[in-house]
Order: sequence, then C-alpha cells, then structure tokens
Amino acid sequence: MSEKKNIDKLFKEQLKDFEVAPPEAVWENIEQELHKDKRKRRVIPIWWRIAGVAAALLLLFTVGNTLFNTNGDNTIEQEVVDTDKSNTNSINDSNDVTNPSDLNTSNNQDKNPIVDNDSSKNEEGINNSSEQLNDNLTTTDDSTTKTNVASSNEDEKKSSSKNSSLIKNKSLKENAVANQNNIKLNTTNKDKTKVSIDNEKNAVVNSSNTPRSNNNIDLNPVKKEKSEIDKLIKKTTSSKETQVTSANNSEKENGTTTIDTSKTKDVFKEENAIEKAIVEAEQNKDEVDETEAPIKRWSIAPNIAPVYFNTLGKGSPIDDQFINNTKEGDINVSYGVKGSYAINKKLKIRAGINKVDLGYTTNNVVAFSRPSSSGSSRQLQNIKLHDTTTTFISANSISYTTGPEILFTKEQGSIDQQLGFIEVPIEVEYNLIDKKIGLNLIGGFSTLFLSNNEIYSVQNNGDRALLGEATNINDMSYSANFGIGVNYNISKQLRFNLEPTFKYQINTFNDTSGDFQPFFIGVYTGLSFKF
Amino acid sequence: MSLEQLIERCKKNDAQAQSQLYKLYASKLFSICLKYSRNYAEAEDNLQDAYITIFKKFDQFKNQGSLEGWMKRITINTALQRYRSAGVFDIINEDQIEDVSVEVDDDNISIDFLLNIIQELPDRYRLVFNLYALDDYSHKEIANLLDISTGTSKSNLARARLILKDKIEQYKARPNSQSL
Repeated sequence: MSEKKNIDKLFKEQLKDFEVAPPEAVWENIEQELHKDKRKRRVIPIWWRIAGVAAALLLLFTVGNTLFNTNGDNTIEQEVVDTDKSNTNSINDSNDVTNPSDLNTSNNQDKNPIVDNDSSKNEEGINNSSEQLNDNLTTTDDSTTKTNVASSNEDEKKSSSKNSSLIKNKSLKENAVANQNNIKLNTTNKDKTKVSIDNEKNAVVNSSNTPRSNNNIDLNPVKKEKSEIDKLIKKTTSSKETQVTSANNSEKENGTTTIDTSKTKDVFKEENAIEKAIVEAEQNKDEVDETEAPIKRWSIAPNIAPVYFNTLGKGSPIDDQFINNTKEGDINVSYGVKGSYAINKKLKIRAGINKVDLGYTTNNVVAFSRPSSSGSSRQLQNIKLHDTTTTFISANSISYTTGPEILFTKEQGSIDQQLGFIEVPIEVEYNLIDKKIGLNLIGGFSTLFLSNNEIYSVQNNGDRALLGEATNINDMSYSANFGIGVNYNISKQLRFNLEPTFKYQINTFNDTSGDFQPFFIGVYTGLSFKF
Repeated sequence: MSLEQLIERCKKNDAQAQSQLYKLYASKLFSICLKYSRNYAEAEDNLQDAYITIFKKFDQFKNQGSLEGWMKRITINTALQRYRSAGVFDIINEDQIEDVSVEVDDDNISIDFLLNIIQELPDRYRLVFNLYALDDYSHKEIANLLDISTGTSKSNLARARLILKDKIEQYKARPNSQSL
C-alpha cells in the first residue's frame, strides 16, 4: 500500500520525534572548553593580586621610609637639647659636689662622650695632680667609672688652678661638637681628629663602654684599677684631640698602641683647636643638609592624551561576517593623573588613574528592517541589540545579483563601537638621559575597568543611532604598556612630559571573530610637580 | 530541580546544572545538528559549539519563550554560521526554478535513510530544506538568515525536493527489483 504524499510532510512526520544521543566525548569537550575559560579567568586575577601586593609593599615601604626619616630627625634634635642640658647639669653637679663617689650618677654615664672629652682636657691640664687623682679613685666605690674619673679630675683641677667658668664654657662648646657628631657620625669627627678610623666606633664605644669599664672595676682589685687609671691618664695627656682620647679611654687595645710620651699641651691651644673644630663641624653640617635637601622623590602629573585604537590582526569584535570589512580606529581622548616615586636617580615607580575612550568603526555594513513578527533571530554574534527588528550584514557578503529585496531596503553605513575604560596603570620609568631635556623608557601594566559600552549604527547620511551594547567585552581587562618619555625640566619642581605609549590590550574581548588583537596608542602630555 | 531552578543555576555557571541541562536537551539538539550537517562528525562539532555558545550566553536568555526554542535557535544558528563563514552562499550562477510541490509514495522509509539523503544534499539546498520544511521558517526569514534572496531560497527548496524525491524513488526501485 502506498499513497502519494507531499515530500515535506513525509520528512517532517518521520523526523518529528527523531532524537539521537550524542557521543560522550561531546560533553567532555564542552566541559573542557568551559573549564579552560575558567582557568584563563583565574590566571589573570592571580597576576592582579601579585601586582596588588607589590603595590602595597611599595606604598608601605615609601610611607614607612618617609616616616622613619622624619622620626630620625626628630630624635636627633631632641638629643641635642637633652645633652646640652644634662651636660651643663652634670658639670654643675661636679662643680658643686666635691666628693667623687657622689659624682657617679647615671647622668654622667649617659653623657660620657662629652664628659670624656672634658676629662681628657682636664687631665691634660692637671697632670701634676694625677697621683692625687689615683688616690681619689682608689678610695671610691667599685662602681667608679671613667666618667667619674673625669669629673673628679675636673673638680680637682678646678679646685687647684683653673677657672671653672672657662671649663664650663669649653665643655658646652664640646657638647655642641659632640652633638653634631651624633647627628652626622662621619665627617666632623674625621676632620677634627687626625685619626680617621673608628669614628662611629668611638661614639658607640663611648656610650657602651662605660658600664663595661664599670664591670671591670667591679671585678678587679683596687690595684689593677689603679694601674688602669694610670694608663688612662697617660693616654689623655698624650693624645692631641679629645675624641681620640675618649676612644682610647674606652678601648684598651687602642690605647696601648697610641700611647705616646709627647708633652702636655696648653689648655689655651687646645681650646683654639676645639673652636676651630666647632666651626668645621657646623660647616660640615650645613654641607650635609644641602646635599640631602634637594632629593624630591615624589611627583604628581596630570596628563591628557589623544588615543588611537586599532587591532594588530585582521578580525572583528562584532561578528564573523565583518572580518573582511574595512575598519577604522577612532581617535579619542584619555586624561588622568599619575603619581610617581623615585626609587633612585634612574628608576621611578608610578601609578595613576586615567579615563580612556576608545572607538572602532566597521564600514560597509548594510542595515535593513524586517518584520518584527519574524520568529528567527539573525543576530550579530557579539551584540545585544536594543532594536531586534533591524538586521545588519556585511556588504561584502551581499550578492547584488541575487535579489532585489535587499537592495530596496538596504542602506549602507557603518557600525561604530564606543568603549570607555577606567585605566589604572602601574609602570616603571627608567631614565636614559637626565638633563634639562630628559629621555626615559616606560614599561608596565594597566588594569582596565569597563565603564562605557555602546554600539552605534551610522548611516551614510550621518544619522547615528544607538544599537545596543557588545556582549563580549570583559568588565576587567589588562594592557601591557611600552613607552618613551621625553621631558623638559622647566624648574626644579616643574617638568613637562611627552610620552608616546603603546598599550597592547589583553583579555579585553572574550569572543572575537578572526584575529582581533586590540591595542591603543596614546601620546600623553602633561606637567609633573615634584615634592 | 525544576527547570526554573536549573536556568537560574546555569546563569550562575553552576557546573552541575550545566551538565544537567546538557543531558536534558542533548538528544534533541543533536538530531538538529545531524539534519543540518553533512555528516556525523560535523554534527558532533556543531553540537559542541552550540552548547558552548548556550552556556556562555546563558544570561541572555530572558525567560521569554521556551528554553528549548532558544537553544534550538542557537543550535541552528551555529550550524548556519559554519557555512556562512565557509562561503557556501556565495553567488552561484544557476537558473532559478519554480517552487514545485513534490509527492512521493508513503512507504515505510527508515529515518536513517531520510537522514542520509538530507545530509547528502548540497549545503545550500540542505539548509533551506531543513529551515523551510522541517523547522517552519518562511522564505523571507531564510533569506535573511542565509544572506540570500527569497527567490534563491525558493529555488533551492525546489531543487532539494527534487533531489530527495529522486533518491527515495531510487531507494524504492532497488528492493523492488531484488524482490522480483
């Protein structure tokens, strides 16, 4: 039995309930593809995290560094005040109190460098009274220190021959010298004392050795103590400069090597030397200040740039059919601000925030309307259209001979894609030439946050209509940046910058047709202010 | 899990839900792929691409209309996309023929055979026949979809029918001659 039947109907009925289970491999492939995508998405956030950590560390380091620096200055200033006061105090004390055992105050010990200085001079002045001094010391407690010795010497001297006010003045001056030595441990000591070694050690040993010598005295019998003090006095009388003396005082080995049997010097002469030293120290201090002050590490630079967007490959961000269409990158504007920190003279790290607009035009696109009742959806691959009744096809794929319908309704124009990003660049700037006109290389990364995503239809007659938005643009993407910077130093604070920069975009589109590798070029100009 | 829940979870890229959704419609969509493709291997690729598109663009499914319809449309579009980019619809200078009604004897013809002869059709005939005869697209819609004129669409449909008829008749003639 057979009857004639419409062939369409036959196929439709037969295939109506036709279902075939696909092979397992298909789902495996799909799963793999979906996961691959996830993996790709995960990799970049890790990079972002690393960059974030690096940026945070940098910030911490720089902020910490500046804080530390200012702290250091403060404490030094405080020290100056403290030592001044306490020293005059201690000297006053020693003037007032004649009993050497009472002089063993912690104040004196703390201020040992200055007191040591005093002692050495004093001792020089009173080498005659060394025996008496020894006696003094041997009768004192175990805790007697060199500073005590010094103080007692001072007292002795005062009581015997010297004008106490002169000594006081002298010691005050020395305080100043010593303080300056504290601030800049180098230079001043070096100049003052002919012995250039162990300036720092000098200061350090001075402060740390007093208790040690205390211990020594504690442990050793009186006899040894006495001999040590003898030695000490010898040393002080022989050495020319106060700093050296104090160093010798505190360090036995040093002392033995530098002991000399030169003659004692006049207090007067020594005073001259000290005054000279003070002047020198002050000069040194000024010099040091001058060299440190002008390093301005921070700068801020507002900038503006024309940016040109294009692709390295031949492709379309919109749809397969537009791969072969002619396309044009638009020129837009980017503006923002950058802050930079100079790690050293050559290298700067900089970060900022920029608004970037990019535009890309696909030409030779035919737009035509079709009935809205149409059930089919002939949509562009990567665009979510607001108005689904319009269809866009590439003029390249239209055959003008095939049918009149399209030609009647066709209007040839272009599709204009407008993208806006907030760009956060993190870059390194390396100085090649650092003169009045400078040259540097710039490299780094930017993170781009999508802020604007619009697609317009532009007709040949200039009509422009919002079509919708692209669906294949990631909210967050990246760019690798390379640039050359030319700058002109207008003044110490102000600099003019011109930085043509190439930014290769990464992960901007998640689904493009053909080989679409977007980039943008910007010529960033602006002024940077150093502070 | 209801379909609504499944859809919501798929929108959140839930792997388990995606797997479930795949299983739910795989057979149906694979049959579409088989009809629109030249062979089994191509159909596999097609199904794979279609599902990837479905999952990637799942947030675009607005719950208007059936999910099945939406997925079917994507599957068909994926199949068409393949030939569109391959330039199948480039101009072919052939005379356009009239839309003809073709009738054949309604015997027991296996589905496998019907599928075979559909797959054997030249691409541009197969797609038009599928769209018009099996999936109820109008000639105008087909013209839009394939970037061809409605005239071409009609002509292609007529040629497809004639070829299919020939094949069915040949098929019938063979067992008959054997039985004689």
